Amino acid sequence: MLGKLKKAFVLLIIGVISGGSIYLVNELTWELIRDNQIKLEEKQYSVIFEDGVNFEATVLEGDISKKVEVYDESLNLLGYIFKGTRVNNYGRITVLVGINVDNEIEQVVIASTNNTPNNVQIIKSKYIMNFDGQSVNSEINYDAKTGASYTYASIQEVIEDSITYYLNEGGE
Amino acid sequence: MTKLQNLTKGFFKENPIFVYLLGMCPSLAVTGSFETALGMGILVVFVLTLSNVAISIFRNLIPTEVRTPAYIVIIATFVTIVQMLTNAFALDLSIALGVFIPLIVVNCLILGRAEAFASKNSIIDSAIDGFGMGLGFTLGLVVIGIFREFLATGGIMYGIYLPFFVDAPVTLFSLDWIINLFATDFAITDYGLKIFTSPAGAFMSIGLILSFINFRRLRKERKINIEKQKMIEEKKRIALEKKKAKEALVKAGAE
Repeated sequence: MLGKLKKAFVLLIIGVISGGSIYLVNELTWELIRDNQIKLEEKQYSVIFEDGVNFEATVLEGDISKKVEVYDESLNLLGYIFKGTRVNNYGRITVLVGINVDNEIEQVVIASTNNTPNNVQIIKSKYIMNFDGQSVNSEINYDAKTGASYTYASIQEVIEDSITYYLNEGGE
Repeated sequence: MTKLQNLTKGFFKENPIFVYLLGMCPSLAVTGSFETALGMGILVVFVLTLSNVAISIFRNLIPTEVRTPAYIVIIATFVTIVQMLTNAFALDLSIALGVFIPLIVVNCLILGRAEAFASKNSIIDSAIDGFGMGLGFTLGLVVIGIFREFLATGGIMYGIYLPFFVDAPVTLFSLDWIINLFATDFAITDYGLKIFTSPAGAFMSIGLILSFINFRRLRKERKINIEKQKMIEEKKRIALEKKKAKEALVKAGAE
C-alpha cells in the first residue's frame, strides 16, 4: 500500500511540475500567440478578398463562430467571411468561407488544421479552388472522390453552414 | 567514455538517423527544405536536452513500473513548451512543421535516450548526451534537407521560416550563377526534380544517402580487412623465415 502511495505521489509531483511549467510558459507567451493568430487571420482575410482593407468582425454563437464584413478603401462592402471550426479524426480544422455581394463564393481557405501538411496541400491546391465563383443560390459542386476524407468533409460542412447562415441572415 | 566522446558520439558513430534509423517520421516528413529540417532539429535538441536533464534528476525517484508514463509526461511537457515558444516567436516555422511538432513526443530517439541513458547517468552526462544526440539528429535532418531542396530547386534558401539573423529570405547557394556564365535567362528552379519535395522523394533521398554511407563504411571495412590480411600474411612469412633460419642454424650446428 505504501509503495502504491509512493508511486502515486511521485507521479503527482511530476504532473504538478509539468503543469506549473506549462502554465508559466503560457503566461509568458499567450499574448504573443494571440497577436500572431490575429495577424495570420487578417492576412487570410486579405487572401480571400484581395481589395479588402477594413475588416469588421462579429463573434457568433453556433456552427459559425465568426462573421467578418469586408470593405475596400472607399468603404464599399465587398462581402462576408464566415469562420467555422470542426473536430474530426485528425483533430481541429478551422475554415474561412468568403462570400461576395454577388452571392458567389469568393474563396475558401483552411485557416488551421492538424492533418498532415502534404494531405492539406493536395486538398488546397486541387480541390478547394474549385469552389471559387460558385453561386450560393444553386447547388454547390463538391468533389465526390475527396468527399471521403475527413478534412474535406469538414470543409464541406463549414461551407454549407456558411451558405445557410448567409442566406438566412443575409450577412446580418 | 570522456565528456567529449559523449558529446560527439551522436554526430557520426552513433548518428540517430543514419546509424540507428531512429526518428524516421520527421526525417521523412519535414526535410522538404533545409530550413524546416534545421527548425525541427533545433526543437528536438531543446526537447532532448531538457527531457534528459529532467529524467536524470528524477531517475532515483521514479518507480520502475511507472517509468514509461512518467517519461512521456516529462517529454510531453517540454514538447508543449516548445510548441508555445514556436507559435510565439517563429509562427511560420510552426505552420510549416504543423502536426510534426506535437509528434516529437513519440519520437523514439527521445524516449530511447531517456530509457537507455538519462535514467542511468548523472545530470551533466545526460545533458551532454541529449545535446550531442540532438545535434547528431539535426545534422542528419539537415543533410537530408539540403539534399532534397538542392535536387528539387537547384539552390538552398534561408529566412522563409526561421526569422533569425536575416530580415528577408536569402539564397545560401544556387547553381544559377554558374549556369548563367554560359547561358542567360536560365532559372535552375524550372529544371528541379520536384519529386524530391514529395514523400516519395523523401524515401528516395534517405535511401540514396544511406546507401552512400553504407558503401563508404563497407569500403573502409574491406580496406581494413585487406590490411589485416596482409599483416597476417607478413607475420606468417616472417615466422616461416624465422623457422627456416632456426632450422638452418640447428642443421649447421649439428654438422
